[in-house]
Amino acid sequence: MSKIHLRPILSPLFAIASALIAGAILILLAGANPITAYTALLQESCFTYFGFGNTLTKMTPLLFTSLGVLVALKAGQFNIGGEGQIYLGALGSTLVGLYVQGIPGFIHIPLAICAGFLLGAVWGGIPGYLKAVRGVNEVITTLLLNYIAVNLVSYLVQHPLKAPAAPSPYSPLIAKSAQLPIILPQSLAHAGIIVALIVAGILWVLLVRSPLGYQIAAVGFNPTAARYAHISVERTIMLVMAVAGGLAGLAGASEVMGLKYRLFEQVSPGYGFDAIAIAFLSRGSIGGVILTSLFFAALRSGANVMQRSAGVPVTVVYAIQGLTVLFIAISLAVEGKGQGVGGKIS
Amino acid sequence: MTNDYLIASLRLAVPLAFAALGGMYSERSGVLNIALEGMLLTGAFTSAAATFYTGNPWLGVLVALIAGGLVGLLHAFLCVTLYVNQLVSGLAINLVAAGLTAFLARLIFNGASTQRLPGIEPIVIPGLANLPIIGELFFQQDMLVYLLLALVVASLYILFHTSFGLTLRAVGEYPQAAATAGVSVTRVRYLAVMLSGCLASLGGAYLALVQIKFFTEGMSAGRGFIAIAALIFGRWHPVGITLACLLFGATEALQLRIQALGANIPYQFLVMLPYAIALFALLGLAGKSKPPQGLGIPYTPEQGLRNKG
Repeated sequence: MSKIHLRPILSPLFAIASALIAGAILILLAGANPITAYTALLQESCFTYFGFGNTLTKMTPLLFTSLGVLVALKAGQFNIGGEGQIYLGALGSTLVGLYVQGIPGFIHIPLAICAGFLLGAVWGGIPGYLKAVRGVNEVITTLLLNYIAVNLVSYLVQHPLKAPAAPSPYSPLIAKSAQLPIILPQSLAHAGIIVALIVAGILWVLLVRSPLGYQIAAVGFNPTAARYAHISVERTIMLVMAVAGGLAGLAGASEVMGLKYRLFEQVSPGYGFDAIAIAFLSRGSIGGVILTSLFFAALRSGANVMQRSAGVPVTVVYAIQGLTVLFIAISLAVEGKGQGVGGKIS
Repeated sequence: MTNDYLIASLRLAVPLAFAALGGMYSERSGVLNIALEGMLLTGAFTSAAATFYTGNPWLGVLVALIAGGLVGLLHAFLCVTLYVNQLVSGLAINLVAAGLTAFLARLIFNGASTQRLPGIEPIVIPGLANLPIIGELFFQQDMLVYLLLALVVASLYILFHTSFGLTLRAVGEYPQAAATAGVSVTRVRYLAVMLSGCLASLGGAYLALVQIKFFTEGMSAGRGFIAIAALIFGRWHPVGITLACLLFGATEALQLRIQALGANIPYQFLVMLPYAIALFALLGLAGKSKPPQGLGIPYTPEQGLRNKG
């Protein structure tokens, strides 16, 4: 590795270290030993079988949604509708998992995944269309659509989709043939992470090695210039937003098909917003998105064990996560690479 | 019964309105403020903590004001001085606020989680309070509600009838022109974003000291984002924003009532309604309901606007 290759990850690493130091101070405040706490966290999230499975499980929706934000970002679009798109994606695969029966898994699983992608794509495509054709700010529309999606799913699981005699609102179990297999036996880790990594690979090829990727980057960099190069800015924006929604939809699909096997009210605890932070911090790099998702997921999966063995409240992890985002944003800005991070919201 | 409902609507609208009016100042100056959620939470936590230690809710409100201003200062520093993407800065602040307040709450309120804080009591205005319907609604409220009502009127005046308001709007719409006219874009934006933090934080204090009388983790529960929706729906105008918040408060109150009655009515469509209306309003008003033109764009003195990236 030459110096040039190391530079881009140096300041994020420095920022993560600062956040961990700040976290250590908080742990001290709580009257615990930071070294014991961090050791427990690291050991649990990365070096125990079940804990690592848990990390992969938590990484899956983060990775899918971050990829969605990243794709939109490449074309200069801010997709803060990840939450809503996740809910719609979960709905799509639940419907296929519930109402399509009696087909083998190798057809049912892809079909349910596609349904998740499709409904997510619709939810991302609407703001894309409104932006491209009507000029309505996508930050606003994606935000508003989140609430509509969350409430739509809430209605569905409380009324038409509610499992008979269920004590709380959730749908019946989806068909066995639509459930993603567990990849690490006895753990929660399901095949969703493999799908996510494959999708990340496809996306890398599309964005970095294809004319379409060039077209998207051109629109993101300078729409006016792109227009002169006979690129349809409108179509690119619509396409990119639909794909972004679809990718976030896959996060919902994998939560239903791999983890819960049913639709429920709290599909996402805020992955859509975490994803924005992850995509930005990764500076548009797909490898960066994978690593950052893994880091965030590891923090969360190790947090419970840290609480049990070191007596540190789980919430310290959320503080560390927030501080990481904050410090990385600052370090990128101070480094003077503001152009990649700052920018116009239009 | 109807009166109770109106009062519930107003009470639910208050934190939203504080946050949304705060957001208005920030966004009118050209700084996107998605950090309202974190600011609400900061206000709720700091006011609860200060009240917990001192037993004086008014000290709690004061501490919330200061803390909110500091969070605003951080957002301004990141966005205005460092040109960090305004969306990212806001989200980072939300994440930090959620994590830190939840963590510190465990340390501070540990074991006292059932204890109620001495809240802010309503002030009954003699005479007026006995008026039918509006008496209880407007004249038996606590100080923060009166403050909010005054704030709406004051904002209307400040924004459209003072030179500060003109400067603020100029900075948000055409920062270069404002700078050419000798205005310090940086200073105005710092001021606006800090004010935004103070107001949103007051909304949080209302949540903690009036509505719930305690702090619970994540008690802002997405209200900051709803405030942003109200800000958009209200077209960045104080009266529009207030009406939007009242509408959002009214639907929330109705939803709570339906749930409490245990009626099998799908209240979710009701909750959705304001967002759907806001969405259609944006469509119908495309061209009319435009955010301030400079919104979200960092301003650098050397190059005017930074459009790249």
